[in-house]
Amino acid sequence: MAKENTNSSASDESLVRAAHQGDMDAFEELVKRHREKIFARAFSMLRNEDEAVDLSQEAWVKAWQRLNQFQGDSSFVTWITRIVINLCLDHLRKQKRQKTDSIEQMDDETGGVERHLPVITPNPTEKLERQELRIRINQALDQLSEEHRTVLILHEFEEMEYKEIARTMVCSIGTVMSRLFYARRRMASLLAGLRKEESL
Amino acid sequence: MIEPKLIKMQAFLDGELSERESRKVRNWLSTDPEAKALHEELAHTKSLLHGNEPVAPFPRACTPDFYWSQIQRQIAANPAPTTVPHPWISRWWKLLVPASAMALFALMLSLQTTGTRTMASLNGMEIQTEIPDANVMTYRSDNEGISVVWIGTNE
Repeated sequence: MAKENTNSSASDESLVRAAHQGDMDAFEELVKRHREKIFARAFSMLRNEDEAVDLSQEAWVKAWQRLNQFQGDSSFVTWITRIVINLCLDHLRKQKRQKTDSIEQMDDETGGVERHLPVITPNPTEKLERQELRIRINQALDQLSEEHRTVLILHEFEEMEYKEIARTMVCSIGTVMSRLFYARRRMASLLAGLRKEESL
Repeated sequence: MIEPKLIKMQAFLDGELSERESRKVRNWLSTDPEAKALHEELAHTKSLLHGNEPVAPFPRACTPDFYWSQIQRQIAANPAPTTVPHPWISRWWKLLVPASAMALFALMLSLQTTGTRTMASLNGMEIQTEIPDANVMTYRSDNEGISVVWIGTNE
């Protein structure tokens, strides 16, 4: 009980140090603190609750196994987030290999219909409540292709630079920039479309 | 294929351009209303997303205890974390690769001086290394009677 209290007030860094020495309670505290964020990141990429639970658990297991590789250059939560992102990308790649959707792939690289979308003029008078906006963004993300969604998540939410995204997604910087461009255009169109639908 | 100009516009928006290139894009946007409108659309989308990530709630059906117990079970099936080697060991380990390369190079040179007959006896000989994740390239010139071995790491 006393140890549990100590852990709950300890910093991530000291919990990582303790876990590194084999302290499972310290590691459990880290899981308790960050499991929701890690699950949410997996879900945002996979859009499937069961798979997100499985892969987020796998990320924790990998983190335990690789604790000796954690150098503290970034925060622990950033580090484990990168682990879950890589696991999700591997999973998506495996799924993709099993599919034969070459047309979809072609659209992802060239932009498909997003190339011909009219420019959306932002309406500054329309202010959405934050919660409402998040729901709409979530609906729009659902409609993006995996590649466009991933690049958008990594850039806008994980705040990764082009170079880092290219390394993570194992593609060129040009591909990252192109995907991001089309993803943003599609998002603009989808968010505008959602606004129109609701005003009808 | 996306126009390079549009890619630059986006890179400008994301702060990934040099000051010189940024100036060029700013000039372009000030003279081209269509480009300006597209830039505004991209900027607006970026600002809408910023700080508004939809966060999926943790599934209720998966209780924290159950979630942890599954992680614990998988960890139990795998070895415990190994301790980090002391920094001085890591430093020596890093030095080992160039040192091995130099030693091999010296070996080749010494063999070369003992004549081609000795070199011929090297053909098919295996040299083992304990260096993990290393790559090796070799070059052999019979005319000049030399063999060169490059050793590098994949890190």
